[in-house]
Formats: sequence, structure tokens, C-alpha cells
Amino acid sequence: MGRSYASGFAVALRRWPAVLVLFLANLLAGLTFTAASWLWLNAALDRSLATRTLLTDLDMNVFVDLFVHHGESFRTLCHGAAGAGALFILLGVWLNAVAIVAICGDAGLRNWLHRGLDLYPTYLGLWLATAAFNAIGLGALFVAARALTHWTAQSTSEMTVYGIGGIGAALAATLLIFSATVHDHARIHSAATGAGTARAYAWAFGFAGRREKRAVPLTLLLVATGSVVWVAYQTVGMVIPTGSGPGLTVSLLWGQALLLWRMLLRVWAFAVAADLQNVDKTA
Amino acid sequence: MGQGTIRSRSWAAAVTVMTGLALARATPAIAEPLSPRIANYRIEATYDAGAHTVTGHETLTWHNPTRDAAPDLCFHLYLNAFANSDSSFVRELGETWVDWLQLHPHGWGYTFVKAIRIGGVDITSRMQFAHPDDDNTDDRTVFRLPLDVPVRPGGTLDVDIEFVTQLPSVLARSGYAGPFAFVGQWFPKIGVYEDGHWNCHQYHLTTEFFADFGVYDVTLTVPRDGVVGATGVLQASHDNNDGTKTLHFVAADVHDFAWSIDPRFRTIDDSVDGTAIHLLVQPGHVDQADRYLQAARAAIQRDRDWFGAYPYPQLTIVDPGPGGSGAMGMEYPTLITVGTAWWMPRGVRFPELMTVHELGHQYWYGMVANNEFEEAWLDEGINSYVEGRIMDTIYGPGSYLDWFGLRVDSVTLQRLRYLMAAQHDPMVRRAWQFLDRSSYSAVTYSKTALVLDTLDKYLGDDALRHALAAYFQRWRFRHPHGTDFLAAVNESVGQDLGWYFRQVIPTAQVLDYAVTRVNAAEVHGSAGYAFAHGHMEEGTPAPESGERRYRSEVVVERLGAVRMPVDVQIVFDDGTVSNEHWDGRSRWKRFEYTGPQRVEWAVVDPQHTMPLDINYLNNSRMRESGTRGIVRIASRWGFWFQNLVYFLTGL
Repeated sequence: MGRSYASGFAVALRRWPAVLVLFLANLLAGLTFTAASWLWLNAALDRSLATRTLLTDLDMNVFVDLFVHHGESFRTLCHGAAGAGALFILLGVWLNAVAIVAICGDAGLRNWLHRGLDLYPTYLGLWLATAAFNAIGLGALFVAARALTHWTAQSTSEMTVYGIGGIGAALAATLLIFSATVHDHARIHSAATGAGTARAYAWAFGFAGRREKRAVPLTLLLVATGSVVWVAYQTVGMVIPTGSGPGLTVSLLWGQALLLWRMLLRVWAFAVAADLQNVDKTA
Repeated sequence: MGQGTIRSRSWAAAVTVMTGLALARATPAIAEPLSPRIANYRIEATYDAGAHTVTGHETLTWHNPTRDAAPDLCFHLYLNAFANSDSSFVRELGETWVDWLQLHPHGWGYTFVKAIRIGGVDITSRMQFAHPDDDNTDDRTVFRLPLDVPVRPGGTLDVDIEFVTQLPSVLARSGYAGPFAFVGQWFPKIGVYEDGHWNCHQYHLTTEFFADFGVYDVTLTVPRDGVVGATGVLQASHDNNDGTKTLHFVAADVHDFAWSIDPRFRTIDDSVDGTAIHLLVQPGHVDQADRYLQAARAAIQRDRDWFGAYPYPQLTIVDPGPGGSGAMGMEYPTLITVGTAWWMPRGVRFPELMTVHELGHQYWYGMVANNEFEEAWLDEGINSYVEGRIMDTIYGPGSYLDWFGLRVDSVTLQRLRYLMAAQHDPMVRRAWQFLDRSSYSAVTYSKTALVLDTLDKYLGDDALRHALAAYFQRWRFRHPHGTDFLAAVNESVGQDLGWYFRQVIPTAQVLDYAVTRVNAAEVHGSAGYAFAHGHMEEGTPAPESGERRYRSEVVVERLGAVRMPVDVQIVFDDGTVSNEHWDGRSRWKRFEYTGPQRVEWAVVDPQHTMPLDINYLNNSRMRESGTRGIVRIASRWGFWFQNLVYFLTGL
């Protein structure tokens, strides 16, 4: 497990162009929504002093007035964000395919982009299958938790409801980690063997769930790695003074550093999955 | 009919006071009467914790304090609001509630009158259910009882009632949740007789209560392991042979009696200024007891300093059990319910807020006992204002929420609530006639608080607080109306504030001032013809000067119907400041300046002295928009969006 973890990191570093492509696409998403938010805030705040004071003073009255008096346009902004989110998800499906092609050994960015496009229909199917699996699983957990809460409404302990919520959240996290593991392995398998959506997903389900005992623990290890970095990001982020122009700039750059790291982590996860499947990645 | 206990006396308010004195002598714990003591109850009740029923017998001694004979009596049976889906209360709640209750077949509750006797004669059959507020003939929360012989002015009547109350599953104030029970509105309770008719409204979704003061002498038999908190003071307690115990409580000069029981309660006693504080807290919340007690002590001291002493010997604070959140945040005389959760962060001052608010009701409801059905703003609104002042005084900036950099104080919270439904209803409206719960809450609680906050800042020098103190002193242990409040305020501040009250109390008009123009244009030399020496001269040259000059213009508009005098602050690019004052009466006001400096920005009401203003954003305007504040927020939102996209693409 340790070898896969370490070699995956090395492969991810070597495939830095793929990391960069993922990051730039993500940055584009951020810039798009930042621009939309800027336009909305500029219109809603309408040359008020808040356009200046929000830098140093997060006055909640400003947000109350924005919410109350500009709620309709804010909803439009949210709908726009949902639409943009959907587009970037569709784009992300392709770019993840590009990263996996890079991991699986094909040479050259142009080739990665091309091969990624070939894999797109299968990968979109896998993303939809994963989303459906997650929705059904989380929905079932929610219904079960609601039913348990309902049946224990007369419980004499306040902790009953929190216990149900805590166990439900833990199960939901486990389900998401397992699902992400299956999704990664299905994509790697499809890229390596040309398997279609259903076959790749079924194969990955069996691989991650039964045949390869290290698959889920490795995902967990990667999640833990990401969490450690997130804590470090927050710790440093809290001491950056955002109440000035330079401080704000540093804070924004620090946030992008976190996202760059996250893209590296994603490619790392693909590389670890490829290693477990013994996919040729020597090119 | 043999209504021999009707005793005629000459009419006089003093009679009721004398009767109170007589009752005081009969019960050693009762001090000299503070109130008229019109409705006095002696209740003996037994609680069945398994069935959640209270079986009781009450003897009501009622005095007619009016100039009119009372030909009938009128009682509330509040818990019948939870009897079925046909009550006005449940109808007003809507289908969701009904569905919920249908899922809980044991969740319904009621009060059933088994027998009514006057002078030993059973007159139960005379009960007539009434629905004075709506056309719902299925509502059973009010009944009338015609009398053979009217109760004369100044007369007294004894009524014996046997009843059984089934507690509902607690969702609104009263009921049970596991072994916890909160028992309020649990006995047949007489209405208020005034001006020749009964003021006895149905129990609605948005209504609370209205009752006369009196003495409550209540004996409760409950399971021995139950820890009980109740209105008044415990006089005696003894264990019975059947696993029960009997508790005797007495409360004088109050207008309701509620109690709570839970074997899990931990009891913590404290005191402040001679008032015992009796906290009944859930085991999981013991580590937060200091939060309740600190808030209670501070609030009692502030209320004492600002308005007058808390006159009762004890205050009981009840922390409801799991599943009992429906009983949280309620006030009864000398007893309040609060609430928290085991995870409640210190910066989220939910327990403190509820303690301060419900404790304030001991003044604004408990003692100054206005009609909550008809003029709820008088208690909920005034109390919300006072709550905000106390919270801000005790906890400072971020008094309600101070958590992870987010700070919310009283004005922000009240503005948020008010603005959600600012323009549907006026403050003066019967509680059940508001558009919906949201409007009731927004206007009754928050608008009133903001109206008073704005007035407070307008008057300055604590004048409003002194006026509230005068109002309290004049009307405690009485039933004031809105006009009484306004008169007390006018008298105290020494001016007629009708111009303000007429705009904000009986109407749904809003207050909104805005800076709508901030411009500066360079002033060039004169051009065109000049009038000089009786003829026209062409091409008047511009005066030579090395200094640029600008004409700055600021326009302030009144966008709402409410008029207030306002301050306007205008800041120029050389740092100079011009402070202007406008009476705010016309639709707009223009301010113009000519000089070497350009206007940079202008703000109306720079000190935020008008929290009633519905839009702070348009209170200021810059000549050129700032960007850094927008960049901070927009880039942060963009960053969150990036993380969301990262998460969703990585599923």
C-alpha cells in the first residue's frame, strides 16, 4: 500500500501538465463565477459605501439588505452558478479522462486531449452512474435516518438524535469514499482495456469491493492526506490579513495554491488506482 | 337555580383589593396584594405520567370588577386546540401539521370538563361552545356558561369545575416528550370581563393569552421521582404511599399557572437581589447552566435598574427535555422555558437570548398584562426591544452571534426578521388576523422593536427607557391598551410624539431614505452674453485662476411614506466633511457645493439612528464605486465555487 501511495505521488509529479490542465480549468470556473458575482455585487451595492467597506468590515446588515432587496437577482446568480457548474462538470469529465490517459502511459499533451475525447462517452456514463449510485445511497441513508429519528422521537436521551445523525454522516462518508474508489478504478479500467460504461463500472465495483483490499484504504489515506493539507491551509490562511489589498491578494493566491494541490491529489489518486491495477504507466 | 354563592356587594374596585387582602390573610405565604386579584383559583390535580393526563378539580372565585352585571361566564379550554384537525389552531397551521399529527395517533390533546357546579348545583349541561373570532363551529377552545342570576358589579362567584386534561405531544408550548412534560393552559380558565362583555378569544396559531390577576393555590400529585417546577413558590411537599408525592404551590398576583415535570431534571439554585432562581436543567446541559444563570442574573438586574424591581420571591427556569423543543421559549408568571443543545457554541447565544427574552416577559406580559390576543405588540414588541438592549449591554458587539468572524447584534437580527415581511400588516392588528405567521412575527416582534429603537435614538438621553419605566410603574398589574402606552410615553418625554406613532403603528408604511445622486462637475468660466451697463456684451471671458473648481451635487430622497428628520454627511475628496440636517418631509432634498474639492461620498443617517430604515444599502452613495470590497466578496465566492466544482467532478 505504501509503495502504491509513494509511486502514485511520483507519477503525479511527472504528469504535471495534466495537473496544470485540471487546475487551469478549475481556475477558469472560479474566474467565471467571480466575474458573475462581481457584476451582481456591483449592481446590487450600487456605489454604496459597502463597495469599499466590505474589504475590512463584513457588516451583516449589508448581507441582510442584499438578501432581502436583491433576492431575486441573487437567485438568478445562483441559477447561473448551477448552469455554469453543470458545464464545468461536463468539462471536468473530459479533463479527468485526459489526466487518466496521461497516467496510463500515452505520451504528449495533444495525444492526452485526443484520447480523452475518445473516452468521453464512457466517462460521462461512469460519472452519471456514480452520481446515481451516490444519490440513491445518500437518499436511502437520509430516509433511514429520518425514520429512526421519527421512531425515537420519544427517546429519553438528547444524544439519540445526534447519534443517528453522526452514524448517518459516517455511513454517508464511507459510501462516498467507496463510490469514488469505484469510479476511479472504473475509469482506469476503461482507459486501459476499452471496456464500456456498464462493464467497467461492474468490474470496478467488484475490484474495489472484493478483490483488491487495498483500494478503499488507499482512497482513505489520500483523503486523510488532503485533510492534513486543508488544515495547514486553514491555519496559514487565518493569519493572512485580508483587510488590505496586498493581504487579499496573498489570500487569493494561497487559495489557488490549495486548489493546485488538490488537482495534484486527484492525479495522484488516479496514479494510485492505476498502480493497483498494474496498468502500464512507463511511457 | 340555586346559585347561592353569588354575593352582591357594592361596586368598587377597592372591594376586589379587600378580597385580595382577605385571601392574603388566609394564606400566610401571600403578601399584601399588588394586583386586583379578580380571578382566584384553588386547584387540586393528579398527573398520570404514563397516560400524560391531568385529572383535576378547581374552585374559581371570580369577582366582577366592572360596572356591568355579568349574565354569563366565559372560559378558555386552550388545549382543545390540539383535540383534532378541525380546531382553528390546527386549521391555521395547515396540512403539514395535520399530517404530522396523523402519524402520531397519540399526539392529540384536550381538556374535557366533567362537571361544573355553582352552589352545589350541576350546570354542566349549560356549556355552550363559542367561536367569537371566526366561523369555525368545530373549534372547542371557548365555552360560555349562562347564569340564572347575573353576577352584579362588585359581586363574587364561586365555580367548581372537574376536568381531565390529556396533554398533546408537545409541539406548541404544552405537552409531553418522553418523561418530560410541560403543563400550560391546562385547566378551564375564565376570560376577562370588561365593558359589559367577555374578552375570551379562541386559541389561534399566533395568539397568546389574556387573563385577570389573582391568587393560584395549586396542589399537584405527581410520580415521586418527578422533579417539578411551577409558577409561584413551593409551600409544602409530602410523599404518599402509592409512589406519588403531593406538592403545594402558591402564586399571588399572577394571571396564569404552569408547571413542568421530568425525572431527569437537575436542580440548580441561585439568587440575585433576594430573588431565588430555580433552574431545572437537563443532565446533558448542566455544563451550560452558568449561561442561563448569568443571563438571568444580568437581566433581572437590568430590568430592576431600568424599570422597577422584580416583585416575586422566585423565578423558575425550565430547560425542556429531548423532543420538547416545542415547549422552549415560553413565558408564564414567575416561570420561563428556555432551551439549548449539548453542542451549542459559546458564541451562539441562543440560551442567553431565550433567557433574557422570556425573563423580560415577567414585566411585559407578567405584570404589565396587556391583551396579547388583540395588541401583542405591546408585550412581544416592547419586550423584544428591551431584550435587544439588555443583550447588547451584557454581551457587547456580536451580542447574539459571535462565531467564526460572524457578528450579529440585536438590530441586525430584528432587521432581518422585519424585512422578511415588512409591508403586509400594521402593528395594531389582532394576532390571528395577520397575513401569516411570518408577518405576525416580523411586525409584532421586530418592527415594534425597531420602531422603539429608532425612537430611542431620536429622543436620546435614555428618554425612552425612562418612559418605559413610567409606563411600567403606572400599568403594572393592570391591563393597558396601546393608547395607554402612547400616552405614558408622551407624558414622560414631555412632547407629543403622535406624528411618529401615527406613521408607524397603525399603518404598514415603511421608512426608507436614500442618497440617489452624488455628482461633481468642473466649473468652467462663464460663456455667452453678459448683461452690463445696459447692453449685452459677447464672449464674457472666464476668470483667470490656477485653481480648478467643482460643483458638487448630492440628492437625498425619501422613498418610503414614513417621514423622519435625518442627518446627512457629505465627505469631499480633500477630507473635509459637511454635516447637514433635513426635516425629511418632502420627497427629496438637494445639497449643492461649489469649491476646489469634489464630493467623494454622502450618507444619510450616518450614525444608524434609524434602524427602522428598510434599506441601509441605499443610505450611502459614492461618486465613484469602490471595488476592493466587491473584489473581496466576489473572489471568495469564486473560490468556494472552484472547490464545489472540484468536489463534483471528483465524485
